[in-house]
Amino acid sequence: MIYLKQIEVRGEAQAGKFSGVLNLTKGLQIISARNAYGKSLAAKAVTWCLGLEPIFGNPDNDPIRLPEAVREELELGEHSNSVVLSSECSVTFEDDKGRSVRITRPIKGSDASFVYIGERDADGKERKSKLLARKLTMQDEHGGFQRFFFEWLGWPRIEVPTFRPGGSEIYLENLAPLFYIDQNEGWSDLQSLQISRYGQLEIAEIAVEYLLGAMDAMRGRLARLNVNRRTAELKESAKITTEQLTDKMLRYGWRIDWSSHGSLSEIIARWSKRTIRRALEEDASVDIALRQADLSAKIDRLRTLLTSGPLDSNSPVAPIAASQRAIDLKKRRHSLSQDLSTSNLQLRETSSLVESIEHRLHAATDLLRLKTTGVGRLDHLECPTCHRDLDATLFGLTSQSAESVEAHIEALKSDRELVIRNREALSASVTAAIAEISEVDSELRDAEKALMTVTAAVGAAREQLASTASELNAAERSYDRLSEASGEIEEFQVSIDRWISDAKSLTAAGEVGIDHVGRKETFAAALREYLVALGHSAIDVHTVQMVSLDDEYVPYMNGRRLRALGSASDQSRLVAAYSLALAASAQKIAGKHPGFLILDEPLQQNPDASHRELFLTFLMNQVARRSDFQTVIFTSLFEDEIKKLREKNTMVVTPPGAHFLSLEKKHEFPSPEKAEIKDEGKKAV
Amino acid sequence: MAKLGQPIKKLADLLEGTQAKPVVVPSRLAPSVIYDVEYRTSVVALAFEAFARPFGIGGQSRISAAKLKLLQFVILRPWLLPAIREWSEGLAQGSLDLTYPVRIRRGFLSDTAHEDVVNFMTACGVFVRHGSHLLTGEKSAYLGEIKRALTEGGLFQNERQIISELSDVKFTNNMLEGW
Repeated sequence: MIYLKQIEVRGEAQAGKFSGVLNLTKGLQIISARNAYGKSLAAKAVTWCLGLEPIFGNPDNDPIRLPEAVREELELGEHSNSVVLSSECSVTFEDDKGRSVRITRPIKGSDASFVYIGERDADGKERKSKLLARKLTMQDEHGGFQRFFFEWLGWPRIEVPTFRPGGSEIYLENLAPLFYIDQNEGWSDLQSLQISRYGQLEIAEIAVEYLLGAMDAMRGRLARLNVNRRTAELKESAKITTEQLTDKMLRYGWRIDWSSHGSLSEIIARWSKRTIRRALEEDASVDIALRQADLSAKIDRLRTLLTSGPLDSNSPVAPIAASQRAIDLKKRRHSLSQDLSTSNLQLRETSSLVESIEHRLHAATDLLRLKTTGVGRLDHLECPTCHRDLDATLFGLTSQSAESVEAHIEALKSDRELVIRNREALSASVTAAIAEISEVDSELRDAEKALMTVTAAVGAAREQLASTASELNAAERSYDRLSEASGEIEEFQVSIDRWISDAKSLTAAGEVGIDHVGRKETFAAALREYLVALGHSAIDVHTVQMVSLDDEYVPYMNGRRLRALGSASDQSRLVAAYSLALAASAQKIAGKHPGFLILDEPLQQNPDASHRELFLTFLMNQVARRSDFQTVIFTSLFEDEIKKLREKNTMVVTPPGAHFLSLEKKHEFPSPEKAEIKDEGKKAV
Repeated sequence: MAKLGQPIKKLADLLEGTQAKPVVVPSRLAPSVIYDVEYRTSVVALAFEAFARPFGIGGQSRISAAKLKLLQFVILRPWLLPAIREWSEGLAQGSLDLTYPVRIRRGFLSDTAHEDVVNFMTACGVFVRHGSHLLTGEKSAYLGEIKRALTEGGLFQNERQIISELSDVKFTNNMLEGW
């Protein structure tokens, strides 16, 4: 665990050099100063030094979120609107072992994409480095700031799956919304500053588990997410493979039943049950090996006939056979064209039927909404003469009940499914018919060439030779085509076998670790304690035991989300209790919480006097004061409130001066490192 | 549903005596929403609001009753839109006016439900008959209210889309005569 030791902002304006320093200690402390003093600047300086601008939706290295006093111009004593020439801020953290790190980042006048690190180990040994604040902040082993900071804190790097291809990992900006509650945006909901645009899956839950140190639970969750993502990828891949395979087979004129419907295990079972060749044999009566063997035998026979077979010099059969074959093929082509025309017509009709069902389904769904919600309903129509309600049934009209419309919707959905299947079957028929016509066309061209060759030959012997040669040519081409199909089937089979192997190796997500249950319960117990201490209006000591956390770490009570209970001002109490409980429980169970919590302006979230009173009571309470983790609260208190808090030993810091930033008296401002070294030197003397 | 199921139940009782095993699927007994008065009034209101023209000095609007019937018929059956567009354009070319309306005519002549809806709305004072036209009546505010509520509620977007596409189609007297 670490604590925030110092926040410092400095720079140079036209009026001269300026600076502001805030020294902090462990435990609870309230930084109280009037509005516009610069408290928010101090709070936001922490996020800027840590490179957290993405949580505010700002582009990398853009300090727009910081107040104008460090970017544009500021008031310095009697110099109003003094233009800022350069500025930077630093934060210093120290851990339990006495190690410290000082992080400095330029705001104006220098390159804000870098942070300057000053490390000091427990023995006082120092090291300085310059790191990239945002670019490859985690990935760059030597130059990334977050990579350094995670290592310095002893935090593990965790990969997080995303909606998009390529994973992500947990970043500081994913964790910060749990220990930095921003004045403007942090109080509206739990983790309201959590980043969603990185597309990380279940990142809010993962962030909580990370800070609680529930690494097994988090790994189980990540494994499950990875399994889900991989399952979706495999299903998509199965769908594409199926489409390609059935399309390819249809192009050869073979229709097979090969689907990618159902769950992953169903697809595995179905695809493992039979190979593509077996499917071809069973569904299309196509045995490629047998066909190849037949063709091979035919080719051998024709070759023998052509080279050494006997010739009948008086036989007139060859031209007759060649002519008959061309006629048969033309007839077949005509018949296939007619079939194709019919299938195309049916396909068009079925497509418009699908369109019509879709329209009717939309109309019925909207009508159901109209009937259940009453939107756009023509109610209480009365006769303009006798002012009696008119009944539509008198006009032969019926008003259907919502149940009837619902039943009709079910029927339409069922019809749609059937018609869509019919359309798919028709589409497959069209593709198969086109493929068959193309095949017949090719055969017809061969037959016509053969006929021309045979009729051009002189004498029966030459006619027989020409006929045999043409037949041999056609058989060889068929064999080549079959070999090509066989090769493609082999490729598909390899791809399917690999898919089955990948799908089988996909194991179920890891179970939630045992450590998770205990850690979650510790967090829930701390949350109950803080909710009561902060005075959440929906909770008292009797009902607090009903507060629980669901699997997403969302607080519930009696089956309702806690944020839906109580008054509007309870929202900020819930956010405060949640953040404080997380820090307290993480400390108790040795979690990964950094050990400090910044609450910026909790009193501004509700002007109600009772809200203020409740919060001050909490600050005087033992629950708030006894915590060992650091809580820094930036707010504005009245004199009597400060007095009351101090009487109860609650630390209230009231920084001096009219503003956090003031003109330096000396021209050269000593850096905190130098100042500390001087102090140590004095002590030694 | 019980009311609709009565004849089927009687049939089921009769079949039971013949050792047949009747299976009643309630979803198949539900009539199409095209016969629902609220759906029809919504469509008529949307069509009227889109196509009626101001009439007279009393702030009324009117539309040809035949045009409204044809409009609502196509709005309920959007797959007829290409046919009606072809019909309209074919007429402009002055030919084949006997072939184009064939698909439209199918079912249109027997569409008495529309007449019932218009009669109902007329009886309620939403419309007033004026020769071959329909005029807005004293309760015509209902039409605007329905349109506004449906638009705000995001209901019947398909129907509203067809209405917007129909605004490009020219309805000639030839198309509206003889029904």
